[in-house]
Amino acid sequence: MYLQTPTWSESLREVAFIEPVDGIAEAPEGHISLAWSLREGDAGQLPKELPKELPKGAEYVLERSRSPDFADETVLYQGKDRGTFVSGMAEGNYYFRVFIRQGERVGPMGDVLVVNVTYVERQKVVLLLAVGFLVFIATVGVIIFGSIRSNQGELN
Amino acid sequence: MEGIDTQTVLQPSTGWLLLAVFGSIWIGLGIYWGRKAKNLEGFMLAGRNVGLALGAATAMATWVTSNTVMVAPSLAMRQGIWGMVAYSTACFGLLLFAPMALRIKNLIPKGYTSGDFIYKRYGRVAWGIFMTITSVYSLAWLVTMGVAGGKLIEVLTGIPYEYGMSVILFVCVAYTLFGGLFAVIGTDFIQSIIILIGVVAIGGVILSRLEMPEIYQSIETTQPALLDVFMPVALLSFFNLMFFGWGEVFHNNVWWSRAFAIRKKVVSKAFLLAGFCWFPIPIAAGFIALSAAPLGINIIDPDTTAPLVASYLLGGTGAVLVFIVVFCSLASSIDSLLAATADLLTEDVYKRLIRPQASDAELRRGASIIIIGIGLLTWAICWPKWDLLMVLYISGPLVASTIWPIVAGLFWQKSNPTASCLAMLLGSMIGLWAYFSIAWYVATLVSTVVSMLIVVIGTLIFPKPCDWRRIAGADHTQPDNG
Amino acid sequence: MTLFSENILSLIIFGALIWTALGVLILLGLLLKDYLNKQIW
Repeated sequence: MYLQTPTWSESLREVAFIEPVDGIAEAPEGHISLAWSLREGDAGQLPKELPKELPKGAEYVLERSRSPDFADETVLYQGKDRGTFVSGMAEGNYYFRVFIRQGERVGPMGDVLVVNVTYVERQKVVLLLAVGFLVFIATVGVIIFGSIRSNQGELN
Repeated sequence: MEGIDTQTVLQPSTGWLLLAVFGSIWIGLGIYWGRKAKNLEGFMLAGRNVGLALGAATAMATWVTSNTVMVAPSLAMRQGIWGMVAYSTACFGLLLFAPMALRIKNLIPKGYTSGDFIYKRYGRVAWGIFMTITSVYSLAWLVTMGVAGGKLIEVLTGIPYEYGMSVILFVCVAYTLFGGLFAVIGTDFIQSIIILIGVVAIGGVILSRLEMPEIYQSIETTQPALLDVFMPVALLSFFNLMFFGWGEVFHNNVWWSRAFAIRKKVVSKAFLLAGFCWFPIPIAAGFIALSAAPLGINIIDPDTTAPLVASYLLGGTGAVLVFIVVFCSLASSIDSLLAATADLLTEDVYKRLIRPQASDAELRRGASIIIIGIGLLTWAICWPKWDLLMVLYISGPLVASTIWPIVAGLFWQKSNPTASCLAMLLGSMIGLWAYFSIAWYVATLVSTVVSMLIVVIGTLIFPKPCDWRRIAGADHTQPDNG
Repeated sequence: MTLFSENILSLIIFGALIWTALGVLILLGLLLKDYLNKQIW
């Protein structure tokens, strides 16, 4: 499963999302906070004390795609951080995965995270804008009209 | 790409040095300018003769809070172009207050506070409701500023939160105490220039590293919704936020005291200019966030975008710049709140309820004690990091319920006092209900609508004309209605 | 999803930065004017 002899400090282990943890998430506003870390693994296979650090020269890679097979993937982030804030997503499904890369070597792909972006219905937005606009006009109107009358000495 | 650990960008010693330098200068100015305050009117209202330059600057600087500088980038990151532009429209409150300020000065030339006006115009019950609303909001604003200051200093310099927060509050209390509104307004001018220059400087540096086509392409590829012409989440809250701003400006004594303090001939222009100068700031600050991804900076917590980007571009200098700009934004708001809230409590509670015969000297002493008291209360709530952000958000429906009572009170002679009481009460309650039961982005809008309908319908059915001259009268212990 | 064009983004950003800088000049200029007329406060 691992591409390297088991010197655990140098092996490229699987990376898992710790936020969100369920493997699927909603992002109704088009943004989401992601966090990941090296997967702990099953007790039988791995030593008790796993190094938390990345091997030398290795970095995390976060990829995103609009399709589950990652045919059109974009690299959103490469580096040593264990999280990022993703924003500006349009409506629809997004697929995320994160893994380790060290030079030419690539660690195993972890589970794919599915993020569904569904915006609030358009009608709701238009309704709120319309109501707000009416109140806006009414209030500005009273202030301007009242101010003119006041300056003409009618409100004394 | 590397994330940057901002805790080590500046050393604690640098932080302490900056705090000591700015703290000393501000307190020194407080003492120096405080000598101009020969009487109560000088202390509370800077002699009612502040000119256009200082008047505009103080209104603008006070409306720039740490939110403007730190939250605007966060908002741009989450809601893109419309997010920034929506935030910018918060200046409309200042623009609309311009004619109101002139009306206030014409109507009650010897007035001191917004509470004064409500008491005389609508009576004791309305005044009580109003004072409750403004106290909740003002305290929440003060505390969130204190907490934000402490957190930011800690993030940038490593100085522990408790110390940073305490120093900021201490400095603000000190120079407000010594200098009253003269010190507040004088320091506001300096702070406004620093804020404006700082924001432009960071924007300029970003543009020296990146071309607009690069920036646009990066956003278009990886964050396209930020450029959406119809971005739902930003547009949903558009008017909600706007009315929150109107409620804040129209009711709070911070703005009324400026209306009283600025010379009549220039008071309208001052607020118009303040609004004008404020408008581009959220966009310029928001730009910082839009440039993060194109610059290759990883953002984990959107609220730290500004310091991260500044530090990345300018290293320690960038961090110092952010530190100074945020210090100025915080101080310019905290000092105004301290002064105006103390004025309100001195005039409206101490003089009206406790000692109506108090002399000016006693009132000034009272105001000083109240400034210290408010400072201590704020510090006590900030210490355990009780961030009252939630309280600040729910104060939206509270302050918005005062919009129509105040506007009608100023311009509509027949405006019914009972209707205004009900408008504030029901607007607040139904708005709060909407906050928790429907969504945060309708609460303030709901409150404004409810309040407006009650004021308008109540007055049309039961008009109660008031005597404007009675309200202008100097005796401010007699209400218009019982 | 219709997007704002690059020209619009440029206009908004450059516009905001220039406008902010203009604010500095206006405030300083007005202070000078008030100072010369002895009506700062």
